[in-house]
Amino acid sequence: MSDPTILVLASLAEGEKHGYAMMEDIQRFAGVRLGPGTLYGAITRLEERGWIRALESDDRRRPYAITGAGKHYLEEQMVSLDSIVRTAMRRLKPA
Amino acid sequence: MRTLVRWAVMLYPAAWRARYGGELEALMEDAGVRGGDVWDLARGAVFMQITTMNFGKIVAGSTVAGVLAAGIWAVAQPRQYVSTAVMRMSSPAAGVWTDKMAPMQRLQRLQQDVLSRGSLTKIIQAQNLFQKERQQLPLEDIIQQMRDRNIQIRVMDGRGGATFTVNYSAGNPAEAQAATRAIVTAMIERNVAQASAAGDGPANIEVIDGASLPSEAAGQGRAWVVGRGGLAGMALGLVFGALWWVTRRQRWVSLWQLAGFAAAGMALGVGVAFLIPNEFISTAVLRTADAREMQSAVTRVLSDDSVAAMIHRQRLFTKEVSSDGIEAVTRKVRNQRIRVQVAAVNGGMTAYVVSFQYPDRFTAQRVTKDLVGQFVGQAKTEVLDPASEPQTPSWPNRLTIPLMGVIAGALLGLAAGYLRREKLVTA
Repeated sequence: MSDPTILVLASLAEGEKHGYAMMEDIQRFAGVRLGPGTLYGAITRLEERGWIRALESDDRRRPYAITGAGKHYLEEQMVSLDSIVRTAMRRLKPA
Repeated sequence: MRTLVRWAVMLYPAAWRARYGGELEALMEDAGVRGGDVWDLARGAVFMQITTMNFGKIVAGSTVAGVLAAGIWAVAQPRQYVSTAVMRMSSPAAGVWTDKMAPMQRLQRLQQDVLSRGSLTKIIQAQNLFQKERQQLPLEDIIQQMRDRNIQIRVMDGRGGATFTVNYSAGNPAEAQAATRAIVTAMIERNVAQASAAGDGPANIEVIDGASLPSEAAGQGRAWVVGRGGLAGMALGLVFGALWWVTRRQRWVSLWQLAGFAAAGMALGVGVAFLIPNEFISTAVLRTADAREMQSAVTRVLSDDSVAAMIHRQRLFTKEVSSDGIEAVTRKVRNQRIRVQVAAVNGGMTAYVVSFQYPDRFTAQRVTKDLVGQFVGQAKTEVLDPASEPQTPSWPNRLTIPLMGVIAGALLGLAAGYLRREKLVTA
Protein backbone atom coordinates (compact mmCIF):
# COMPACT_ATOMS: atom_id res chain seq x y z
CA MET A 1 0.00 0.00 0.00
CA SER A 2 1.98 2.99 -1.22
CA ASP A 3 -0.67 5.15 -2.90
CA PRO A 4 0.15 8.63 -1.53
CA THR A 5 -3.48 9.80 -1.65
CA ILE A 6 -4.65 6.86 0.55
CA LEU A 7 -1.73 7.41 2.93
CA VAL A 8 -2.59 11.12 3.30
CA LEU A 9 -6.29 10.35 3.84
CA ALA A 10 -5.39 7.68 6.39
CA SER A 11 -3.18 10.17 8.21
CA LEU A 12 -5.86 12.87 8.24
CA ALA A 13 -8.51 10.37 9.39
CA GLU A 14 -6.92 10.72 12.85
CA GLY A 15 -7.29 14.51 12.87
CA GLU A 16 -6.10 17.69 11.16
CA LYS A 17 -2.37 17.93 10.33
CA HIS A 18 0.02 20.13 8.36
CA GLY A 19 2.46 18.81 5.73
CA TYR A 20 5.38 17.90 8.00
CA ALA A 21 3.09 16.25 10.59
CA MET A 22 1.54 14.15 7.80
CA MET A 23 4.99 13.15 6.54
CA GLU A 24 6.08 12.06 10.03
CA ASP A 25 2.81 10.25 10.73
CA ILE A 26 2.90 8.33 7.44
CA GLN A 27 6.48 7.31 8.04
CA ARG A 28 5.48 6.04 11.50
CA PHE A 29 2.41 3.97 10.54
CA ALA A 30 3.33 2.90 6.98
CA GLY A 31 7.14 2.97 7.03
CA VAL A 32 7.13 5.14 3.91
CA ARG A 33 8.74 8.58 3.67
CA LEU A 34 6.81 10.60 1.11
CA GLY A 35 9.05 13.10 -0.67
CA PRO A 36 7.92 16.76 -0.58
CA GLY A 37 6.89 16.68 -4.27
CA THR A 38 4.92 13.47 -3.84
CA LEU A 39 3.21 14.67 -0.64
CA TYR A 40 2.15 18.03 -2.08
CA GLY A 41 1.13 16.39 -5.37
CA ALA A 42 -1.24 14.17 -3.37
CA ILE A 43 -2.49 17.12 -1.27
CA THR A 44 -3.22 19.10 -4.46
CA ARG A 45 -5.20 16.24 -6.03
CA LEU A 46 -7.13 15.49 -2.83
CA GLU A 47 -8.06 19.13 -2.36
CA GLU A 48 -9.20 19.42 -6.00
CA ARG A 49 -11.43 16.36 -5.55
CA GLY A 50 -12.88 17.77 -2.33
CA TRP A 51 -11.62 14.89 -0.17
CA ILE A 52 -9.57 17.18 2.08
CA ARG A 53 -9.82 20.91 2.87
CA ALA A 54 -7.28 23.49 4.00
CA LEU A 55 -7.99 25.11 7.34
CA GLU A 56 -7.53 28.80 8.11
CA SER A 57 -4.08 29.54 9.52
CA ASP A 58 -1.79 32.51 10.04
CA ASP A 59 1.23 30.24 9.90
CA ARG A 60 2.83 28.98 6.70
CA ARG A 61 2.26 25.48 8.10
CA ARG A 62 -1.34 25.26 6.98
CA PRO A 63 -3.28 22.33 8.44
CA TYR A 64 -5.62 20.10 6.45
CA ALA A 65 -8.68 18.11 7.44
CA ILE A 66 -10.43 15.17 5.79
CA THR A 67 -13.96 15.91 4.44
CA GLY A 68 -17.04 13.68 4.51
CA ALA A 69 -16.47 12.69 0.88
CA GLY A 70 -12.84 11.89 1.72
CA LYS A 71 -13.89 9.66 4.64
CA HIS A 72 -16.41 7.87 2.41
CA TYR A 73 -13.76 7.26 -0.27
CA LEU A 74 -11.24 6.04 2.32
CA GLU A 75 -13.81 3.66 3.81
CA GLU A 76 -14.58 2.23 0.36
CA GLN A 77 -10.91 1.71 -0.32
CA MET A 78 -10.33 0.08 3.06
CA VAL A 79 -13.29 -2.31 2.64
CA SER A 80 -11.90 -3.34 -0.72
CA LEU A 81 -8.41 -3.70 0.73
CA ASP A 82 -9.76 -5.62 3.70
CA SER A 83 -11.45 -8.09 1.37
CA ILE A 84 -8.19 -8.60 -0.51
CA VAL A 85 -6.22 -9.02 2.72
CA ARG A 86 -8.69 -11.56 4.16
CA THR A 87 -8.72 -13.58 0.95
CA ALA A 88 -4.95 -13.56 0.70
CA MET A 89 -4.51 -14.56 4.39
CA ARG A 90 -7.06 -17.38 4.05
CA ARG A 91 -5.32 -18.74 1.00
CA LEU A 92 -1.93 -18.53 2.65
CA LYS A 93 -3.06 -20.63 5.67
CA PRO A 94 -2.18 -24.33 5.37
CA ALA A 95 -5.22 -26.55 4.65
CA MET B 1 21.51 21.15 -2.35
CA ARG B 2 19.22 23.96 -1.14
CA THR B 3 19.87 25.86 -4.39
CA LEU B 4 18.85 22.79 -6.39
CA VAL B 5 15.70 22.47 -4.29
CA ARG B 6 14.86 26.14 -4.96
CA TRP B 7 15.33 25.59 -8.71
CA ALA B 8 13.17 22.47 -8.58
CA VAL B 9 10.41 24.43 -6.80
CA MET B 10 10.68 27.12 -9.47
CA LEU B 11 9.67 24.47 -12.04
CA TYR B 12 6.15 24.31 -10.58
CA PRO B 13 3.44 26.43 -12.26
CA ALA B 14 3.30 29.98 -10.85
CA ALA B 15 -0.32 29.57 -9.68
CA TRP B 16 0.58 26.39 -7.81
CA ARG B 17 3.58 28.07 -6.17
CA ALA B 18 1.38 30.97 -5.07
CA ARG B 19 -0.98 28.54 -3.36
CA TYR B 20 1.36 25.86 -1.96
CA GLY B 21 4.87 27.40 -2.20
CA GLY B 22 4.93 28.76 1.37
CA GLU B 23 3.76 25.45 2.82
CA LEU B 24 6.32 23.52 0.80
CA GLU B 25 9.13 25.79 2.05
CA ALA B 26 7.98 25.31 5.65
CA LEU B 27 7.92 21.54 5.13
CA MET B 28 11.47 21.58 3.75
CA GLU B 29 12.64 23.64 6.73
CA ASP B 30 11.06 21.19 9.18
CA ALA B 31 11.95 17.94 7.43
CA GLY B 32 15.35 18.96 6.02
CA VAL B 33 16.56 18.22 2.52
CA ARG B 34 17.49 14.69 1.50
CA GLY B 35 19.22 13.41 -1.63
CA GLY B 36 16.08 12.18 -3.37
CA ASP B 37 14.06 15.33 -2.66
CA VAL B 38 15.36 17.30 -5.65
CA TRP B 39 14.31 14.52 -8.04
CA ASP B 40 11.00 14.11 -6.20
CA LEU B 41 10.26 17.84 -6.53
CA ALA B 42 11.33 17.98 -10.20
CA ARG B 43 9.13 14.99 -11.04
CA GLY B 44 6.22 16.55 -9.16
CA ALA B 45 6.76 19.86 -10.99
CA VAL B 46 6.67 18.17 -14.40
CA PHE B 47 3.50 16.32 -13.47
CA MET B 48 1.93 19.53 -12.19
CA GLN B 49 2.92 21.42 -15.38
CA ILE B 50 1.32 18.69 -17.52
CA THR B 51 -1.90 18.60 -15.51
CA THR B 52 -2.27 22.38 -15.53
CA MET B 53 -1.52 22.91 -19.23
CA ASN B 54 -3.38 25.58 -21.14
CA PHE B 55 -3.57 26.65 -24.77
CA GLY B 56 -0.77 29.24 -24.49
CA LYS B 57 1.59 26.83 -22.73
CA ILE B 58 1.02 24.13 -25.32
CA VAL B 59 1.75 26.51 -28.20
CA ALA B 60 4.81 27.98 -26.44
CA GLY B 61 6.13 24.53 -25.44
CA SER B 62 5.67 23.13 -28.95
CA THR B 63 7.41 26.15 -30.47
CA VAL B 64 10.38 25.79 -28.12
CA ALA B 65 10.50 22.02 -28.81
CA GLY B 66 10.43 22.72 -32.57
CA VAL B 67 13.26 25.27 -32.26
CA LEU B 68 15.34 22.84 -30.16
CA ALA B 69 14.76 19.89 -32.50
CA ALA B 70 15.55 21.98 -35.59
CA GLY B 71 18.64 23.43 -33.85
CA ILE B 72 19.98 19.97 -33.02
CA TRP B 73 19.25 18.79 -36.56
CA ALA B 74 20.94 21.85 -38.08
CA VAL B 75 24.06 21.35 -35.96
CA ALA B 76 24.17 17.60 -36.63
CA GLN B 77 23.93 18.01 -40.42
CA PRO B 78 27.37 18.03 -42.09
CA ARG B 79 28.06 21.41 -43.69
CA GLN B 80 28.82 21.56 -47.39
CA TYR B 81 30.99 24.22 -48.99
CA VAL B 82 30.69 25.00 -52.69
CA SER B 83 33.58 26.44 -54.67
CA THR B 84 32.73 27.99 -58.03
CA ALA B 85 34.78 28.84 -61.10
CA VAL B 86 33.36 30.74 -64.06
CA MET B 87 34.70 29.86 -67.51
CA ARG B 88 34.01 30.82 -71.06
CA MET B 89 34.51 28.74 -74.18
CA SER B 90 34.69 30.55 -77.51
CA SER B 91 35.65 29.85 -81.11
CA PRO B 92 39.22 28.97 -82.07
CA ALA B 93 41.36 31.92 -83.08
CA ALA B 94 41.42 30.93 -86.73
CA GLY B 95 37.71 30.48 -87.34
CA VAL B 96 34.17 31.13 -86.23
CA TRP B 97 31.60 28.70 -85.02
CA THR B 98 29.86 27.47 -88.14
CA ASP B 99 27.04 25.85 -86.25
CA LYS B 100 24.96 27.68 -83.66
CA MET B 101 25.18 24.64 -81.38
CA ALA B 102 28.90 24.06 -81.77
CA PRO B 103 30.04 25.60 -78.44
CA MET B 104 27.40 23.70 -76.53
CA GLN B 105 28.23 20.43 -78.25
CA ARG B 106 31.93 20.95 -77.71
CA LEU B 107 31.33 21.75 -74.05
CA GLN B 108 29.21 18.61 -73.68
CA ARG B 109 31.96 16.51 -75.21
CA LEU B 110 34.52 18.16 -72.93
CA GLN B 111 32.27 17.61 -69.93
CA GLN B 112 31.89 13.92 -70.76
CA ASP B 113 35.65 13.61 -71.08
CA VAL B 114 36.40 15.39 -67.80
CA LEU B 115 33.74 13.42 -65.93
CA SER B 116 34.98 10.11 -67.33
CA ARG B 117 36.19 7.41 -64.97
CA GLY B 118 39.87 7.92 -65.84
CA SER B 119 39.79 11.69 -65.46
CA LEU B 120 37.94 11.65 -62.13
CA THR B 121 40.15 8.86 -60.78
CA LYS B 122 43.19 11.06 -61.45
CA ILE B 123 41.55 14.02 -59.67
CA ILE B 124 40.52 11.87 -56.68
CA GLN B 125 44.04 10.48 -56.30
CA ALA B 126 45.87 13.76 -56.92
CA GLN B 127 43.69 15.72 -54.48
CA ASN B 128 43.34 12.81 -52.05
CA LEU B 129 39.55 13.19 -52.05
CA PHE B 130 37.07 10.81 -50.33
CA GLN B 131 39.72 9.30 -48.02
CA LYS B 132 37.19 7.62 -45.72
CA GLU B 133 34.84 6.52 -48.49
CA ARG B 134 37.68 4.95 -50.47
CA GLN B 135 38.30 2.56 -47.56
CA GLN B 136 34.69 1.39 -47.59
CA LEU B 137 33.35 1.74 -51.14
CA PRO B 138 34.55 0.67 -54.57
CA LEU B 139 36.03 3.50 -56.63
CA GLU B 140 33.24 3.12 -59.20
CA ASP B 141 30.63 4.09 -56.59
CA ILE B 142 32.69 7.06 -55.40
CA ILE B 143 33.08 8.32 -58.97
CA GLN B 144 29.33 8.02 -59.54
CA GLN B 145 28.68 9.87 -56.28
CA MET B 146 31.16 12.57 -57.31
CA ARG B 147 29.41 13.02 -60.66
CA ASP B 148 25.94 13.06 -59.14
CA ARG B 149 26.46 15.01 -55.91
CA ASN B 150 29.71 16.93 -55.88
CA ILE B 151 30.34 18.27 -59.37
CA GLN B 152 28.00 20.57 -61.20
CA ILE B 153 28.76 22.16 -64.56
CA ARG B 154 26.09 24.66 -65.50
CA VAL B 155 25.78 26.79 -68.65
CA MET B 156 24.98 30.40 -67.82
CA ASP B 157 24.93 31.88 -71.30
CA GLY B 158 25.08 30.05 -74.64
CA ARG B 159 25.18 33.07 -76.94
CA GLY B 160 28.23 33.35 -79.21
CA GLY B 161 30.13 30.79 -77.15
CA ALA B 162 29.45 29.18 -73.81
CA THR B 163 29.83 30.80 -70.43
CA PHE B 164 29.58 28.17 -67.72
CA THR B 165 30.23 27.57 -64.06
CA VAL B 166 32.05 24.66 -62.48
CA ASN B 167 30.91 23.93 -58.91
CA TYR B 168 32.33 21.43 -56.50
CA SER B 169 30.85 20.81 -53.05
CA ALA B 170 32.85 19.31 -50.21
CA GLY B 171 32.89 19.12 -46.43
CA ASN B 172 35.61 21.77 -46.13
CA PRO B 173 36.29 24.95 -48.11
CA ALA B 174 39.93 24.19 -49.03
CA GLU B 175 39.02 20.78 -50.44
CA ALA B 176 36.17 22.29 -52.47
CA GLN B 177 38.51 24.92 -53.92
CA ALA B 178 41.29 22.44 -54.71
CA ALA B 179 38.88 20.05 -56.44
CA THR B 180 37.33 22.89 -58.49
CA ARG B 181 40.83 24.01 -59.58
CA ALA B 182 41.65 20.43 -60.57
CA ILE B 183 38.47 20.15 -62.67
CA VAL B 184 39.16 23.50 -64.37
CA THR B 185 42.72 22.39 -65.16
CA ALA B 186 41.44 19.06 -66.49
CA MET B 187 38.99 20.89 -68.76
CA ILE B 188 41.74 23.06 -70.21
CA GLU B 189 44.04 20.05 -70.74
CA ARG B 190 41.31 17.88 -72.26
CA ASN B 191 40.30 20.71 -74.60
CA VAL B 192 43.77 20.67 -76.13
CA ALA B 193 43.94 16.86 -76.17
CA GLN B 194 40.53 16.50 -77.83
CA ALA B 195 41.40 19.09 -80.50
CA SER B 196 44.70 17.46 -81.39
CA ALA B 197 43.04 14.02 -81.52
CA ALA B 198 40.43 15.40 -83.92
CA GLY B 199 43.02 17.36 -85.91
CA ASP B 200 41.19 20.54 -85.03
CA GLY B 201 42.25 23.71 -83.25
CA PRO B 202 41.33 23.85 -79.57
CA ALA B 203 38.54 26.13 -78.44
CA ASN B 204 39.57 29.21 -76.52
CA ILE B 205 38.89 28.60 -72.86
CA GLU B 206 39.08 31.57 -70.59
CA VAL B 207 38.83 31.34 -66.81
CA ILE B 208 36.76 34.42 -65.98
CA ASP B 209 36.69 33.75 -62.26
CA GLY B 210 39.04 31.22 -60.65
CA ALA B 211 37.92 28.62 -58.13
CA SER B 212 36.58 30.52 -55.13
CA LEU B 213 37.36 29.70 -51.52
CA PRO B 214 33.87 29.43 -49.99
CA SER B 215 33.55 31.36 -46.75
CA GLU B 216 30.10 30.11 -45.84
CA ALA B 217 28.41 26.73 -46.03
CA ALA B 218 25.96 26.18 -48.87
CA GLY B 219 22.23 25.66 -48.38
CA GLN B 220 19.90 27.28 -45.93
CA GLY B 221 21.51 28.82 -42.85
CA ARG B 222 21.02 27.37 -39.41
CA ALA B 223 18.89 30.34 -38.38
CA TRP B 224 16.54 29.60 -41.28
CA VAL B 225 16.27 25.91 -40.26
CA VAL B 226 15.66 26.87 -36.63
CA GLY B 227 13.01 29.39 -37.71
CA ARG B 228 11.25 26.75 -39.80
CA GLY B 229 11.42 24.33 -36.86
CA GLY B 230 9.88 26.96 -34.60
CA LEU B 231 7.07 27.60 -37.08
CA ALA B 232 6.39 23.86 -37.48
CA GLY B 233 6.36 23.46 -33.68
CA MET B 234 3.98 26.39 -33.33
CA ALA B 235 1.64 24.90 -35.97
CA LEU B 236 1.64 21.57 -34.12
CA GLY B 237 1.07 23.41 -30.84
CA LEU B 238 -1.94 25.22 -32.32
CA VAL B 239 -3.46 21.88 -33.37
CA PHE B 240 -2.81 20.23 -30.00
CA GLY B 241 -3.88 23.37 -28.15
CA ALA B 242 -7.17 23.41 -30.03
CA LEU B 243 -7.74 19.73 -29.23
CA TRP B 244 -6.89 20.40 -25.59
CA TRP B 245 -9.37 23.26 -25.49
CA VAL B 246 -12.08 21.01 -26.97
CA THR B 247 -11.46 18.31 -24.37
CA ARG B 248 -11.50 20.82 -21.51
CA ARG B 249 -14.82 22.22 -22.65
CA GLN B 250 -16.43 18.95 -23.61
CA ARG B 251 -16.28 16.74 -20.55
CA TRP B 252 -17.63 13.74 -22.45
CA VAL B 253 -14.22 12.90 -23.85
CA SER B 254 -11.21 12.18 -21.67
CA LEU B 255 -7.84 13.62 -22.57
CA TRP B 256 -6.12 10.27 -22.13
CA GLN B 257 -8.55 8.60 -24.51
CA LEU B 258 -7.96 11.36 -27.04
CA ALA B 259 -4.18 11.15 -26.59
CA GLY B 260 -4.38 7.38 -27.09
CA PHE B 261 -6.26 7.76 -30.37
CA ALA B 262 -3.89 10.51 -31.52
CA ALA B 263 -0.83 8.39 -30.63
CA ALA B 264 -2.31 5.43 -32.50
CA GLY B 265 -2.96 7.70 -35.49
CA MET B 266 0.61 8.98 -35.37
CA ALA B 267 2.05 5.45 -35.10
CA LEU B 268 -0.04 4.40 -38.07
CA GLY B 269 1.01 7.54 -39.97
CA VAL B 270 4.72 6.93 -39.23
CA GLY B 271 4.34 3.30 -40.35
CA VAL B 272 2.59 4.27 -43.56
CA ALA B 273 5.04 7.12 -44.26
CA PHE B 274 8.04 4.80 -44.01
CA LEU B 275 6.42 2.03 -46.02
CA ILE B 276 5.82 4.33 -48.98
CA PRO B 277 8.99 4.52 -51.10
CA ASN B 278 10.53 7.92 -51.83
CA GLU B 279 9.88 9.60 -55.15
CA PHE B 280 12.29 12.24 -56.46
CA ILE B 281 11.71 14.59 -59.39
CA SER B 282 14.61 16.07 -61.32
CA THR B 283 13.80 18.99 -63.62
CA ALA B 284 15.59 20.74 -66.49
CA VAL B 285 14.55 23.75 -68.57
CA LEU B 286 15.21 23.99 -72.31
CA ARG B 287 14.56 26.80 -74.75
CA THR B 288 14.12 26.62 -78.50
CA ALA B 289 13.31 28.97 -81.34
CA ASP B 290 11.80 26.18 -83.42
CA ALA B 291 8.84 24.78 -81.50
CA ARG B 292 7.81 22.56 -84.42
CA GLU B 293 11.20 20.89 -84.56
CA MET B 294 11.12 20.47 -80.77
CA GLN B 295 7.66 18.89 -80.99
CA SER B 296 9.00 16.36 -83.50
CA ALA B 297 11.92 15.71 -81.16
CA VAL B 298 9.50 15.14 -78.24
CA THR B 299 7.57 12.62 -80.35
CA ARG B 300 10.76 10.79 -81.28
CA VAL B 301 12.26 10.85 -77.76
CA LEU B 302 9.02 9.60 -76.24
CA SER B 303 8.46 6.89 -78.86
CA ASP B 304 8.22 3.28 -77.63
CA ASP B 305 11.63 2.34 -79.02
CA SER B 306 13.39 5.39 -77.63
CA VAL B 307 11.89 5.09 -74.13
CA ALA B 308 12.55 1.32 -74.06
CA ALA B 309 16.16 1.93 -75.10
CA MET B 310 16.55 4.48 -72.31
CA ILE B 311 15.04 2.06 -69.76
CA HIS B 312 17.66 -0.53 -70.75
CA ARG B 313 20.46 2.05 -70.93
CA GLN B 314 19.70 3.54 -67.51
CA ARG B 315 18.69 0.17 -65.99
CA LEU B 316 15.33 1.52 -64.80
CA PHE B 317 12.68 -0.64 -63.08
CA THR B 318 14.70 -3.79 -63.67
CA LYS B 319 12.38 -5.95 -61.51
CA GLU B 320 9.27 -4.71 -63.29
CA VAL B 321 10.89 -5.23 -66.69
CA SER B 322 11.53 -8.88 -65.73
CA SER B 323 8.07 -9.45 -64.32
CA ASP B 324 5.76 -7.24 -66.46
CA GLY B 325 7.75 -6.94 -69.68
CA ILE B 326 9.38 -3.95 -71.34
CA GLU B 327 6.17 -2.83 -73.11
CA ALA B 328 4.27 -2.32 -69.84
CA VAL B 329 7.23 -0.54 -68.21
CA THR B 330 7.69 1.66 -71.27
CA ARG B 331 4.05 2.76 -71.05
CA LYS B 332 4.40 3.39 -67.32
CA VAL B 333 7.59 5.44 -67.73
CA ARG B 334 6.17 7.51 -70.59
CA ASN B 335 2.76 8.13 -69.00
CA GLN B 336 3.67 8.48 -65.33
CA ARG B 337 7.36 9.31 -64.99
CA ILE B 338 8.41 11.60 -67.84
CA ARG B 339 6.92 15.08 -68.13
CA VAL B 340 7.63 17.46 -70.99
CA GLN B 341 5.64 20.67 -70.62
CA VAL B 342 5.65 24.01 -72.39
CA ALA B 343 6.58 26.51 -69.68
CA ALA B 344 6.56 29.84 -71.52
CA VAL B 345 6.51 31.38 -74.99
CA ASN B 346 8.38 34.64 -75.21
CA GLY B 347 9.79 36.59 -78.17
CA GLY B 348 9.55 33.67 -80.57
CA MET B 349 11.31 31.37 -78.08
CA THR B 350 9.53 28.48 -76.36
CA ALA B 351 10.71 27.13 -73.01
CA TYR B 352 10.13 23.49 -72.08
CA VAL B 353 10.31 21.90 -68.65
CA VAL B 354 11.59 18.32 -68.80
CA SER B 355 11.28 16.24 -65.65
CA PHE B 356 11.67 12.65 -64.57
CA GLN B 357 10.38 10.99 -61.41
CA TYR B 358 12.11 7.99 -59.82
CA PRO B 359 12.59 6.43 -56.36
CA ASP B 360 16.33 7.23 -56.44
CA ARG B 361 17.28 10.89 -56.71
CA PHE B 362 20.56 10.37 -58.52
CA THR B 363 18.89 8.16 -61.11
CA ALA B 364 16.16 10.80 -61.50
CA GLN B 365 18.84 13.37 -62.27
CA ARG B 366 20.79 11.02 -64.56
CA VAL B 367 17.71 10.17 -66.61
CA THR B 368 16.71 13.83 -66.87
CA LYS B 369 20.23 14.54 -68.17
CA ASP B 370 19.76 11.70 -70.66
CA LEU B 371 16.45 13.17 -71.85
CA VAL B 372 17.99 16.64 -72.15
CA GLY B 373 20.87 15.15 -74.13
CA GLN B 374 18.41 13.51 -76.52
CA PHE B 375 16.47 16.75 -77.03
CA VAL B 376 19.67 18.75 -77.55
CA GLY B 377 20.84 16.17 -80.07
CA GLN B 378 17.59 16.20 -82.05
CA ALA B 379 16.49 19.85 -81.96
CA LYS B 380 18.24 23.18 -81.79
CA THR B 381 17.71 23.87 -78.11
CA GLU B 382 19.49 25.74 -75.42
CA VAL B 383 19.75 24.36 -71.88
CA LEU B 384 18.59 27.16 -69.60
CA ASP B 385 18.72 25.06 -66.46
CA PRO B 386 20.41 21.63 -66.43
CA ALA B 387 18.91 18.60 -64.69
CA SER B 388 18.57 19.44 -61.03
CA GLU B 389 19.66 17.14 -58.23
CA PRO B 390 16.48 16.67 -56.18
CA GLN B 391 17.31 17.25 -52.51
CA THR B 392 14.05 16.16 -50.94
CA PRO B 393 11.55 13.55 -52.12
CA SER B 394 8.49 14.95 -53.86
CA TRP B 395 6.53 12.17 -52.19
CA PRO B 396 5.82 11.06 -49.48
CA ASN B 397 5.96 13.97 -47.06
CA ARG B 398 7.05 12.12 -43.90
CA LEU B 399 6.12 14.97 -41.61
CA THR B 400 2.67 15.57 -43.00
CA ILE B 401 1.50 11.94 -42.98
CA PRO B 402 2.12 11.31 -39.24
CA LEU B 403 0.67 14.76 -38.51
CA MET B 404 -2.44 13.87 -40.49
CA GLY B 405 -2.49 10.59 -38.54
CA VAL B 406 -2.44 12.51 -35.25
CA ILE B 407 -5.27 14.78 -36.35
CA ALA B 408 -7.31 11.88 -37.77
CA GLY B 409 -6.71 9.85 -34.60
CA ALA B 410 -7.75 12.75 -32.37
CA LEU B 411 -10.89 13.35 -34.43
CA LEU B 412 -11.67 9.63 -34.24
CA GLY B 413 -11.19 9.85 -30.45
CA LEU B 414 -13.61 12.78 -30.27
CA ALA B 415 -16.13 10.84 -32.38
CA ALA B 416 -15.71 7.71 -30.24
CA GLY B 417 -16.23 9.74 -27.04
CA TYR B 418 -19.32 11.40 -28.49
CA LEU B 419 -20.85 8.10 -29.66
CA ARG B 420 -20.16 6.51 -26.24
CA ARG B 421 -21.92 9.38 -24.50
CA GLU B 422 -24.91 9.11 -26.86
CA LYS B 423 -25.10 5.37 -26.16
CA LEU B 424 -24.99 5.97 -22.39
CA VAL B 425 -27.67 8.68 -22.62
CA THR B 426 -30.04 6.51 -24.69
CA ALA B 427 -29.39 3.34 -22.62
